[in-house]
Parts: sequence; structure tokens; C-alpha cells
Amino acid sequence: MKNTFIIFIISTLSFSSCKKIDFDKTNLDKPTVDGIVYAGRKPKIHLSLPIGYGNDATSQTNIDNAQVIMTISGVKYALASKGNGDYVNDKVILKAGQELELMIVYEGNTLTSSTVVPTKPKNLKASESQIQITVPTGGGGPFGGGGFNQASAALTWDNDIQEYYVLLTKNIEISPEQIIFQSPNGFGGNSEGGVPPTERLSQPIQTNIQNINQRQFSYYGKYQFILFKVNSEYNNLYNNRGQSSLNLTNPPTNIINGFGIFTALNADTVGVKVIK
Amino acid sequence: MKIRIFILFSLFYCPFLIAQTTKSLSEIKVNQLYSGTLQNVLNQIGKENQLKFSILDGKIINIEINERPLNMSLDEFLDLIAKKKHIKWHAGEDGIIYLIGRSTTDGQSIEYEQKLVNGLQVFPSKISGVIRDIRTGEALPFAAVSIKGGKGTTTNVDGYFTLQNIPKGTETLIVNYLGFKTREIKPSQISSDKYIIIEVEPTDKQLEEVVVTATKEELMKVSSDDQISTIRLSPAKLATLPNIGERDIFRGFQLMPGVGGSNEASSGLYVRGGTPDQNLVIYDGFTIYHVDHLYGFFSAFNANAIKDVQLYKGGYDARYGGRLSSVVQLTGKEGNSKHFNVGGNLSLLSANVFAEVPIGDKFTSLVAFRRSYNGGIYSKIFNKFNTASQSTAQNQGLGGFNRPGGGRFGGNNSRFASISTTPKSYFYDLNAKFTYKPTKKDIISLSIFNGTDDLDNSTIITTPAQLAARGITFDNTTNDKTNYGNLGSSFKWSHRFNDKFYNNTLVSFSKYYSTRNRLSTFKITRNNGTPIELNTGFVQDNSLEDYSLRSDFEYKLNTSNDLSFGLQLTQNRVRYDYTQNDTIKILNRNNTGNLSVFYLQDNIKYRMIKITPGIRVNQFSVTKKVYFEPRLNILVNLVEGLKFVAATGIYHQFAQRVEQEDILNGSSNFWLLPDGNNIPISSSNHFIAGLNYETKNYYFSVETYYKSLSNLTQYSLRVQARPSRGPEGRGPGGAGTSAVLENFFVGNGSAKGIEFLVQKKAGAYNGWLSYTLSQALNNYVAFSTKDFPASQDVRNEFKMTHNYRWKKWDFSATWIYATGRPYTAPEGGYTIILPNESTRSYNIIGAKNGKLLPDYHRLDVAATYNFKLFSSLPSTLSASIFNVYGRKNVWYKQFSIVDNQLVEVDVTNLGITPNITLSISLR
Repeated sequence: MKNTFIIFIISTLSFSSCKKIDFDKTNLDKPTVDGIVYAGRKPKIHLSLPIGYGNDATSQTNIDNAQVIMTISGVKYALASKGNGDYVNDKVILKAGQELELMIVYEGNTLTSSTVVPTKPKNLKASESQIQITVPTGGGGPFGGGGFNQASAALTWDNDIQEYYVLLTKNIEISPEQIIFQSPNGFGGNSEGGVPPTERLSQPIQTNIQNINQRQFSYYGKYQFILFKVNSEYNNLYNNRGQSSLNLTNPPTNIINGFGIFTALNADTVGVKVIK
Repeated sequence: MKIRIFILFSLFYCPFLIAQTTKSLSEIKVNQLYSGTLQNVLNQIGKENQLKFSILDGKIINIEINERPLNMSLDEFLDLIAKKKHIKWHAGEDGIIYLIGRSTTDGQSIEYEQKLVNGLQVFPSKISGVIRDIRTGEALPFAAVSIKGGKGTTTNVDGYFTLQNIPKGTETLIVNYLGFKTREIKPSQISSDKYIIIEVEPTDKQLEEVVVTATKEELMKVSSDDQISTIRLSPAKLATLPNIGERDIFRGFQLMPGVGGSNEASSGLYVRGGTPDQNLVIYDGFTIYHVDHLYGFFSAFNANAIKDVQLYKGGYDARYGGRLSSVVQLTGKEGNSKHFNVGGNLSLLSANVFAEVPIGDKFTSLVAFRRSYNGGIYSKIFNKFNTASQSTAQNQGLGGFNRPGGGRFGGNNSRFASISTTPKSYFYDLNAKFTYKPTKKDIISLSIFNGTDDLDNSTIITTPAQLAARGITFDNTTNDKTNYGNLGSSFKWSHRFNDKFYNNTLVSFSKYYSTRNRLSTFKITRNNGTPIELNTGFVQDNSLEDYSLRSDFEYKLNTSNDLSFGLQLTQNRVRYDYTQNDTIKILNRNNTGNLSVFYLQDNIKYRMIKITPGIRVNQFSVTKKVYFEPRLNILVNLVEGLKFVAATGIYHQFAQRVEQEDILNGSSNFWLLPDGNNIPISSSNHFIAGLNYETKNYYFSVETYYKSLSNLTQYSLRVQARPSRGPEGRGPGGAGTSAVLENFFVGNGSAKGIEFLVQKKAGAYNGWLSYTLSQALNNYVAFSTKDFPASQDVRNEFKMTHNYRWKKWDFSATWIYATGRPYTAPEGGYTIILPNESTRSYNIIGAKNGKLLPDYHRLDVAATYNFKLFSSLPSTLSASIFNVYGRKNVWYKQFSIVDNQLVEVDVTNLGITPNITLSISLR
């Protein structure tokens, strides 16, 4: 009886013995493509390797020895390495409606991706050419008494089919004067943490209007509202991503065999002046 | 060999009652004319003198007697009849007078008769009846009735049994039921061949310093009654185990080999590499789709309302189906049939009351209700989950109005805003069962179960005085409400046609519901009186309804074949809505599926071998396909006490619970029906083999298993920060709304392992040691080109449970050690330069489940004092400490990137958590 037990245990142990799992190889040798290109500009991308956590590296390693081919509406163009991971073709300018295909050969591996240069935003208009800032007083408070937080103007454009847009608000003064709206009681003043930025970039939106309120401005002077029409792969950059081991996933990418993004943007601009 | 059939005949039906003669037979005088059959004559004498006779030979029942004794003593008169009619008689020690014919020829029968004559009465060749709790009259399901040292049978779900082919010369029958004293039955205690009632006594009789015998079963029984890979728990005995706040049946199972014990945040059962959704939970015949409370921390089954619970870890027979891994069968208490009873428990987690009301001797009822309150333990666990999700939400930058301190009102604004929370969270469950037994052959019962959680972590930010003074008012109400649970009911009719044929028919309804409301409303009103209102967020609503009709038959074809067969018709209706900003439905699923099932199996006994082949046939209306599931169980009694067991089978799962990839975007899981395309029908194959060896006091077991799983589905529902109409998005989208991106990942898996168990079954000290070596792998092409460890994979698991009874005290200690579970961690990252030259960072995840959390271990202890309150009310006071030495077991990892390097923060499970429970009952 004892022998029966022992034989059984040995045989079942061998049956159940756990083999070491052959995990997928690391993803850190897959190139990262920073490939946001713009209509009206030369095609330019940046290649690098991801930074590995847990080693001594403090930044990504640029790739300067890859072969990069961009096919623009069926015609192939080589993008030459300019150092620092940048690849450019100086002889071609991207135009709306062009279909772009990207092929990168790096150390025997081929990365591919494709996108389309979107059309320029249509009928971008600002309802006001200048906006007067009403600095909040004691009666205003942090939520913008006296209209500080209310819409002062609106940007509008055509967007019948809910395409994606990104709005860049940019002060173009060389030495812009900061708007000071510290209220007497200490509530709701300027953002803490030093000098506010002169530019703000929105997340992708699908509307055809963007209200502008005074709170959005940190400086007086000339502003450009640059409206980029973007593709869905750009929008995917903003998908929620978990940050715990319960819900961690790889970031969205449209690069086959690599990471990053290859997409094209097309922009239109309208100016507004912010005055006292 | 000549076969003689003895018919046990009782002149006075009085099952299981031992009569005592008060006078010797020589003192009893008979003086009348006795004319008629032997049966009638003895009947007459019995009535005159309050005696009991038993004719053990059917051939002599109708012998004609015509005698007129004159002042004869009864023993002389019986000698006279015996001499004239060639019969024998004997006055048993039990006070019954036995009679038998003399016509014996073969040796065995002579020996048999000799035993009879010597006072060793015999059993009939077949006995049937019911096993009951002597205290409450509850019928006991799955109790073992066996010949001492030999074969046996088990009671069915209604407590009935039939033991056939009892060998001549059998002297003792043994009745075993977990948590009850073992009962030995002698032939003299059997006085009818029709129907006997055997009552057994619980081991936990209050206040009596129980004499510990070696023949009582305690808390747990493995592979009981020749069932392969099963574990039975005694709900009543769970009270002596350490707990976090409640006696928890499912957490009790987590102490057993083959059931994951280190997933502390879940009371769900991870059985042999399976996940909780692969576990079929049946309560009084209907399926329960949601089995826990408080984010899964407690199981939803009230131990006060449960009579019996049994876990089939795999290889289960054709009576069960619809899940890939395992089955839990719970049988609700019918209620005390002898006395009115009421009782309850109060712990730091919840209050629990029950009442048992019998009406007459045919109707019993039990109602049990349990509700949590915002005591220390509830708040501790609730905050644990909500702190974790808030922390993650902030890191994700969900922004908006979602969380205080995490969104628009975070930062310096919070210093003036008045934030209040509305902690109304609670759970409750209700069990009710009404049973009517109009005849000895019929049981009609109505069982109801409802378990619900109402979790509310909503916040309200109201206008501070400074702003109100300026004529500005605002309210920011952020809902964070989750309501989920299960409502179910069954109406069952059990009918015993005869000793061989039994039927259970039931109609049932079960509904799972889960609603998650994360809507935020921001409303501001200024002096001009024009309010501005903004609504954001979502509402998620999932429900599954199950309407079933099933009929199960048991037919004892002969002494070697027990047939089981049955039919089941189930309709599932699944609804899943995802509503954005209170108005826009961006997901609206409504699916209906009909499942028709037929099964047939035969429990074949041939000498020392028991084989149970079976087939289960499923027809699923959605795919319009038929799914065959052959099953086979084998048990071989090698030598006394040593058994070889093996099982195999094919299993399919139809309704599927899918896990949400991102728990912050809705309920962590919900039910869907397969469509045959995106969500295929999943299936598994089980292969099990093992040896077990049992002695009077100890049980040794080793079992190994291999399970392959096909067409597993994982689901990802990603809510995009902005709407999508892109080609990958299936959601309809819409202006100014969010959209969802549904992804179904289909893959395969496997699990294998070996389990060892040593159990001391009974005695003042009892308990067990178990060790499991296992591996669970998944293979999803979407995640990895190779096998990777499943999230529930635990390589080594060692558990021990010790129970000790000393006078009025029960002491208990459990210790669990488990290899850390796998997790996925980022291995690197990169940045993208945006149009304004700012950058956005992304993590690249490493190998799927390529890292292990630190090893898990935990010690829990408990002490229970049994006493009588006011000298009459049975009561217990139990103190329990969970995680005695405060081990910081890691629940999961939180990641952040600082200076291009990964920072991992451990989010830990519960630390030291004491609990006190007071239980009082009338009886």
C-alpha cells in the first residue's frame, strides 16, 4: 500500500511538473516612432528606442542608422538621417489628402504604418477680434464673478461629421505681460507653481465650436488659435490607460512592429488680441 | 446458491424506537382463544400485553393458528406454536419478540438463523428511509449510510436513501454526516422494511462538555461518499474558524487544497486554476450569478440559512453543467420541524437574525436576514477599495468633477470648498424557505434568496460661506453608486414513487443585476439667477435573468445500477446598457438564449469498482448547435481504506461573466451571452486521478489534475476621453459625448497540479495540512505569442488548519502560505512630442504576467466560548484576529514614472483585523 502511494505520487509529480515559461522577449528593442507630420511642411519623423526602467539610462536612445521610406500618394521618398534620431526629406512638402505609408528598416526588422493628411479646417472664425480682460475683484472670486469665467468669445468651424480637432492657444508676444488677478482674500488667484505657460493644447474634440473665456488667458497681447484637424490615431493617444497592475495595458499605437505614432495634421489659424 | 428472501415485517410501525418489556414473558399469562393467521394472533397478543413482535420470515406470516391456552405463560404458548408450526422465536434485547421459520438447509442460512436465535438480529436486504437532525428534524442531504466496513450509499438532496443488497450477517450500519456524531444502527433498531427515520445528533450541542469520540466528523470532509474531488463543509462548524467579520462559506473553502487562498480581496473560488466565473453556484436548485458582497470581500451566503454545502473541484458528473471548472451546491435549511426557534449573530460587520417556525408536523419555514452596518470592518474594507480607485483615478487624470481633490476642484480650490460624503453603503441578504410535506413521499418547497450591495461613495461639494456671501451658490454632486446583487427563487416538488424511483421537479427564477452610476452634476447660480448646469459621467446597467425548469430522476435499476437522468430548460436574458451623460445610450445590448439540456448517467457498482459513465447534451439556441459532454468517474477500492479515483469529462460554458479591463470605467465584471462570433462558447476537458487512504481518525489524499480550456474570452470596454467614430470603434458616438471601444480577446488556457492532504478527522484536536503544486497558463494571441501565467496562477500553496476543543472552548488557527501571484509591470517607456512641443509619456508593458508579487502568508486565530445565556439560551462568543502578525501582503502594484524611472508602490491587503461575534439562539 505504501509503495502504491509512492509510485502514484512520483508519477503524478512528473505529470504535474511545471515547466519554466518561455516569456515573450522584451519590447525594449522595438523602435519608437515619433511621427506627427504636418501639411505644408517637410515630412519629418524621429526614431528612438524606448527607455528601459531599472537600468542607468536617463533618456531614450536615438536611432540614426535606420532606413526610412515614406510613400506619398504612391511615390516613394527616402527620409535621410539628420542625427539625433531625426529623419527628413527636404525636397517634398506634404499636402492635404495625400495618403502616406511609412516603412522603416532597422536591424533587420521592418516597421510599417500609414495615415492620411487631413484637409484643412474649414471656416475657422473667431467671434471677436479682441477680448478685454476684466480682472476679478473681491466680488468676483475664484469662479469668475463679473463674467470672468463666462464665455467672452467663440471659435467656430465646420464639422458636420464629428471629426477630430485639437486647439492650440498660443501667445505670440515676445515679452508678454502676465494677467494678475490675485483676489484680496487669497482665494482663486493665479495657478500656483510659478510662471504660467504661454501655450495651451487641448485634448481632441469633435465639436464645431469652442467657447473662450477670460480664464483661459494668462497673458495680454496677441494670441493665435491654431486649430489642427487630426486623425483617429492621434485621438487614441488620449485613451485612458490604467496605471496599476490590475489594469495595465500597452499604449495604443498604429506602428506595426514598433511603438509610437505616425499621423498627419493640418491646421488653420485665427488671431485674437487680449487687452486690458 | 439458494436465495432466500426475508421480509422484515413489523406488527407495530414505530421506526427507530427501541421498546422495553417491563415483565418477563413467563409472567405474562394467556387464556383466550387465538384463531387466525400468525400475524393476526401476534397482533392480538401484542395489543393485550403491550408487546412488540417481528416476523422475520414472510413464509410464516399467514400460518393458521387455532389455540386456546389455559393460563399458560406467554413463553410456553410461543414454544407450543413454535413446535406445532415449525418456527423459532426469540425475545430480543430490544424487547421485540422475533419469529422465523425452521426450514433452513444451507450453511449460511443456518449461521444466519443461529445469529437470530442468539439475539443477533439481521438487516433486511434493502432498507430505505430518511436521515434527520435529531435537534431540528431537518432532513440531511448527502449523508452517508453504509455497512460497517463495507459499501454504502448517500442520501439525496432531500435526505432520502435506499441501501440495497445488504449482505446477510451484517451487524451494523453506519450513518455519517459532517458536523454530526456518527450513528451506529443495529438490526434490532430496524422494525420496518418500508421507511425508517434515522436521527443523528450534532456535535456542537451547547454547554455539554462533549465527550469526544473518535467517530464524529468535524468541519470538513474530502471526497465524501465516494465522490471524486469534492469537499463538504459544515456551515454550523464554520463559526469556530477565524473570520474577517462573518462566517463565510466560500472563505472556508479557500482553506482547502486546490482552492486559491491568497486572493484576499475576493471571496470567489479559484478552483484548480479556474476563475470564480467558471464556478457554478446552485442554491436550492437555482443558479446564483452573483455570490459576494462588498466588492467581493464576503460571500453572499448566510451560514445560518445553509444546511449543506458541497464543492466539486472538477470532473463532476453529468448532473451538472454550464461551467468550465467547478460546482458549488448549497442546500438551504428547511427550518426546525419540532420547535419554534429564533436566533441571531452580531459582529463588527453585520447583524444577522433568523427564525424557524413549524406549523403542525408537515410545514416548516425559515427566514434569515443579514445586514451590514458601517462599523469598523465594513469601513476599513470599503475605504480600502475606494482609496485605491481614487488614487488610480488621479493618476489617470480623469479630471472633471469625478473626485474630490482629483479633478477640477482639486488643488488650491479644495481649501475653500465644503466637501461632504454620503456614506450609505451597506449589504444585506435574505434567505427564506417554506417546506410542506403532505405525505411521506412528497416534499414541496419554496426557496427565496436575495443578496444586494448598495455601495455609495458619492460626494457633494457645497457652497462655502465666503462665496454664498457674494451671492454665488454652487453644488457639485458626484455620484459614485454601485448597486448589485442577485434575486432568486425556486419552487420544488420532490416525489418518492417508491424505494427505487425518485423525482425532483422545480421551476426557478434568478436575476443578477448591477448598476453603476458615475454621473456628476455641477450647478452654479450667480446673482442674476441664471443657473448653469453641466452633467458628465456614465451609467452602466447589466442584468441577467434566468428562467429554468428542470426535472431530475433517480432510478435504482438494481443492486448494481443507479440511474440518474433529467431535463433542464433555461432561458437567459441579458441586458447591458451604457449611458453617457444621463441621456445618450452608447451601448445597448439585449440578448436572449435558450439552453435545453438532457443528461443520463449510470452509477455502476461491480465488486470493488464503481464506475459512473454519463452524457450531458446541450442545445444552445444562439449558436443553434448541440454540445455533447461525455463524463466518466471511476473509483476502485484497492484494499480496505485505500481507493483509487479518476475522472474525466467535457464541459461547456454558455452564460459568461467577463472581466472589465479597466475597473475604473465601470463595474469590474458583467454577464454576457456568447454570440458564437466575438464571444464563442468556451469549453474545458478535465482529467483527474488520485489515491486516498482513510483510517478511523485520519485521511490521506493525493490527487492530480489537468484541465484544458478553450475559447476563453476577455473583454475590454474602453471609454475614450473623447468620442470616436473611427474604424476600430463600434460605438455609435455622437457630438460632445464619449464613446466606447469594445474588444473581445479570445484565447485558450490550461491548468495542472497535484494536491496533498493529511487530515485528522475527529477528536478534540482536529484539522488538516495541505499542499498544492500547480500551474495555470493562458494563451491569448492579442497579449502574447506564447503561453503566459494566468492571473490566478499560484505555484505553491501550503495551508494548515488546527481546531481544538477544550471544555466549553473552541480554539482555531489557520495559516496560509502561497507563492505570489503574477502581475504585469511596465518595462520601459517613451514620449511623443505634441504640436506645441510638449511631450506625452507612455509605458511599455513587459511580459504579460511576467512578474510575481511577493509571497503571501497569513495567520488567523479564533477562540469561541460556548455558554448558555440566562442559563437557557445557547450562545457563543467568538473572538477572531485576521492576519495576526500584520503581514503586508501585496494586493497590487501602483506605477508611476519619476525621472524616467519606474516607481512601484505596493497597495497592500488588510492588516491586523480583529472581530468579535456574539451568537444567541432560543434553542
